[in-house]
Amino acid sequence: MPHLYELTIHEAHQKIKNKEISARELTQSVLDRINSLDPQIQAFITVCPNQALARAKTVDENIAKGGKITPLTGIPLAPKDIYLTKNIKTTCGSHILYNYIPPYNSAVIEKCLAQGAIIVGKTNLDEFAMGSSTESSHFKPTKNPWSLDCIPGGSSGGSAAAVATDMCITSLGTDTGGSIRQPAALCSIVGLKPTYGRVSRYGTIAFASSLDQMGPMTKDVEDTAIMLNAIAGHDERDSTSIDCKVPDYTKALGKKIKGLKIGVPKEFFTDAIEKDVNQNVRAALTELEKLGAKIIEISLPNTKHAVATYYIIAPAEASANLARYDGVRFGLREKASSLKELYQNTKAKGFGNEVKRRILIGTFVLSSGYYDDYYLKAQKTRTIIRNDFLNAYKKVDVIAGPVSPTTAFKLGEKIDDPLQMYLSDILTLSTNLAGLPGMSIPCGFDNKNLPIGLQLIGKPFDEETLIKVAHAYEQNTDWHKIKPQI
Amino acid sequence: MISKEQIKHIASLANIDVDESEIPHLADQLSKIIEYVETINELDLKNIKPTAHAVEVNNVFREDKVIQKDIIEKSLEQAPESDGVYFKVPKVI
Repeated sequence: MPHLYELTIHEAHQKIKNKEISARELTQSVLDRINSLDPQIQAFITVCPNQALARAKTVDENIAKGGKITPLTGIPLAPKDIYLTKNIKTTCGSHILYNYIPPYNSAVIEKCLAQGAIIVGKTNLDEFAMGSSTESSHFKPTKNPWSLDCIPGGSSGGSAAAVATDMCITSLGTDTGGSIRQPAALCSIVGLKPTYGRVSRYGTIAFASSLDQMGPMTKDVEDTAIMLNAIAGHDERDSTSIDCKVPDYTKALGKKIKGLKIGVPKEFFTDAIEKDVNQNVRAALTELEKLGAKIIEISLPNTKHAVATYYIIAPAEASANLARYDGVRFGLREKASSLKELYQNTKAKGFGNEVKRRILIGTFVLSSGYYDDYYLKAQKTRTIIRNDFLNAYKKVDVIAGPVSPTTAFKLGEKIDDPLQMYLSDILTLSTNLAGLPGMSIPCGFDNKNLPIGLQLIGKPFDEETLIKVAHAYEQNTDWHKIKPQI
Repeated sequence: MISKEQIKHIASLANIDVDESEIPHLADQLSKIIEYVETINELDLKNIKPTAHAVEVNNVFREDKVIQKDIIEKSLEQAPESDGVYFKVPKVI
């Protein structure tokens, strides 16, 4: 019998339902795993064993009383430390929130808890989710479980590493420019960024409000469907959450993909893509073809403008969102003799280099005289990028390509070169700019045994097709079953 | 190019105290980033409408009523300094 911590959500759910295991046993197993592995991996900012075990006890008591068992009842969950969790410290990877204990839960956490999930800890991230390597976390860098001198990807690197090493049964990330998909690819797990508006952003710390979206990071595709079922849906507390029907995503599992048209953008296969990444993604496409899908070459001509567009819009929105961290109401406060000085000293001490850079860029592009030259132009480029996708979807049902041009790079390799770091997001950013759902699933390893992800990009609100294609591929391959040797 | 003077100006707008010694490096890094994002200038954007949100959103109205009642006390618990039901800051006037 495998260790309990190795279970997926759906496997653990069966055992809980059949009374083979208790929530407490499962939670304890995950906590023991964290104890033994996290000193090496550094995936967690906070671990909360006492709260988790107390909650597991309550969950078990409910089950004993004949209470309802949902797919998440008793499931140990490790959300990214960007989701507000009532009475559990939430830092967003920043010194400025080093002591912040939220008085309420984010909408997504509320939903998971209502279904009986158990929070075991909060995972590491780039400070305020700004980064592609989890190195900009104020607290510590997370290591890639496949090679400890490599980055796990980012910004949801702690979540990806925790799922890959079974330090939780499931996790939740956030994706503003690839922050779920890229770490999922680099750690060989499944990650889904839903359509903008599909999942409520209420109570999740904002980075760039028109791009942020919350999503599951899981051990397999079935778990992704279960998690999306739990968190999707309209929320009147988020005015950008869309009031449209939420299907049962588990119904997309096990469906045939015969005749499905998969578009492959030629702009996703440039010379910047590593040879092994290219080969593995091509092989995955061939596999999908064998399953009956039609592969059609398409063009997304403005892909190359995504990085520039994103690095105007995202910092602009971030500079507005992060203005609230000023030492007045919560978090860090530095000594000062005037209010202006209080703001300036608190932000200087509380924010790390990357966050400061982005606030300054955002302030610059929005400042008097520059708005039309940068922000407005970027919003127009955003229209062009979105139109590229909408045109492509007249011919195809789903788009596929690599997630990241390279496999995991070395810790420290790009930390002092922000532009190089930004360019590593080239294949994921345009999805956020266009508001589309995107997914990463394991599709092999390079010659250094570092994982590679296949990216699937869907039509607006068509997460079902992504899950259908991803599941069909997964059921015919074994990549998701290969675990890092650690 | 972003000058050292511009860095000081935007840092002041953003309320971030930047150390004099960091300014040359910041000016250099930001200049490179701004130079890169200016590549969108090669696009013809005439007659293109700007996109603020990828999914069309409409204004949402709701009744102005208190839903969470204990929020004041709970919020004040997190304050670095407070007095009664107020957040306390250095003297403004």
